[in-house]
Amino acid sequence: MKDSFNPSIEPPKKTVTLVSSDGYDFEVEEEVALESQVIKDGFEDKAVDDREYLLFNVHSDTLELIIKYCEKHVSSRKSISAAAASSSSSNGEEALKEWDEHFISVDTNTLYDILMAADYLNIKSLLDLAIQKVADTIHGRSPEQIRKKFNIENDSIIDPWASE
Amino acid sequence: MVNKLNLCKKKRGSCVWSLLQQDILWIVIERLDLIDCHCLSAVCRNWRSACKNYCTLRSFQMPKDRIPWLMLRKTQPNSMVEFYRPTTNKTHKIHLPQLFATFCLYSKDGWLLLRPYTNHKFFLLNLFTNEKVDLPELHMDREIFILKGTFSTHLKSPNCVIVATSTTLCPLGPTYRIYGWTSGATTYWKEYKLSGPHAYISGIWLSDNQFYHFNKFGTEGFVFDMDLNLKSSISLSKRTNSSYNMIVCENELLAFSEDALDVYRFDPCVMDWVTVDSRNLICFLGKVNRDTSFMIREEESQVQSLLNHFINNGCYKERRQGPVIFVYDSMETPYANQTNWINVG
Repeated sequence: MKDSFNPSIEPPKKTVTLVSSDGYDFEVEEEVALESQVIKDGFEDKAVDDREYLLFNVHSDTLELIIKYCEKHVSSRKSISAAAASSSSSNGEEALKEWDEHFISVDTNTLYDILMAADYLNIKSLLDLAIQKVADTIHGRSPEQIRKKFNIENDSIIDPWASE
Repeated sequence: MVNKLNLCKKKRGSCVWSLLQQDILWIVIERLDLIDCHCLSAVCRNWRSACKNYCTLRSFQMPKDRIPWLMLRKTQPNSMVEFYRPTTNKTHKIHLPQLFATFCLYSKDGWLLLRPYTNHKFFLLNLFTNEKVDLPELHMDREIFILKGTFSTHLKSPNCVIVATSTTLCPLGPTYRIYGWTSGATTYWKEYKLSGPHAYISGIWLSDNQFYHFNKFGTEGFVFDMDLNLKSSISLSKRTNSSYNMIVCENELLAFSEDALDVYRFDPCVMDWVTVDSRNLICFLGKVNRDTSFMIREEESQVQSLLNHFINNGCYKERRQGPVIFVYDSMETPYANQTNWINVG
């Protein structure tokens, strides 16, 4: 029976389970999890019933954000390519950029967690986004303002401006 | 989908950022300019060492400011250099030991042409990439006086340097010599000696692989190739004599009279000076060192706020009879020699 006869019945989506460092399970669609290059590498070699990933370095708070980001990007990519196929005009990429900007407008603690998780999971676009946010935060600030912003103590015994 | 029961906030140390991995810091640095990077390196030890390691591996982004920066070295003899960046209206202190005890003759695209106080081992230094080009030593006796220096860049990298000299005390009047170095020539300078009773160097200019200099009365100019072969002498219709200032303005050479009423642009196509509209021209003039002066053309609406910035930073402005606005650097002696306008490209 074709799907179109009964749209309410869809083939079950393949899912992957991600387990956060504090022990919470997150069940996500396969393609969402595959946004992570680390998961993608060697994914095919894993048995279908063994698609569970223990992410020792990612706390559930952060993982929730990461999944939100990946889901958004997977669905946006689909709608952008659908718009391109039907050659209808779309501002999908612009909208996604805006969404990204809003997504990454977080406090520096959360930004750090996202940055670390993106690096650990090797999600290139997210790592890029987080690093750009760090660079933008540094840009135009004095060392003291940067320390304040990132909650860093000045551990230099020597005056950083003095000659060595 | 989320089997979360409750939210538990992690406890964390206050300084996670200071322990950021160096490879991540490097990607951050990649997206910063020199000034930001110097600020970053002052934040904490780990960030400082990341910067240091990065500097030896790669280079910084270059700023794209039209307006020259003001470089102050008032804290001699230590090697702190202060930069005032007009586009952001900020002053930055940077540790640049290479600049210690040097004169700056000219700057372009973030490169400085420098001469040590005590010898003639000229070198070029890029403020942003830390690249250094050592030029061969000019072997000259003590009576030689360095008049001017300039250089050209190709793809933001210096490819030709010209230094003009004169003897100081000579019974028959000074002798003028021009020295030229082109990239690739590691050991020597080409030399050209000006001859004749009217020998004089009032202005020099390097552009499109040609070197120009102008005589005292502004009646004649001379064109050389990069190897200092005299190609032609040109007679000039405007009398840009030695009282005129010749200053580079966005890759063109401008000459203006003391009262700033006459402003000319040198047009290499017709090989002569042509009159230009001098409204909206701002001249950044070194009080002592005229050779590191620059001019820009600025929208009228921007001029006032820009001038206010400079005045708040101790510069002062001057209007002569013509509409050109002059901005002077402000350093008083004995530091005046240590103040330069820097073209950052």
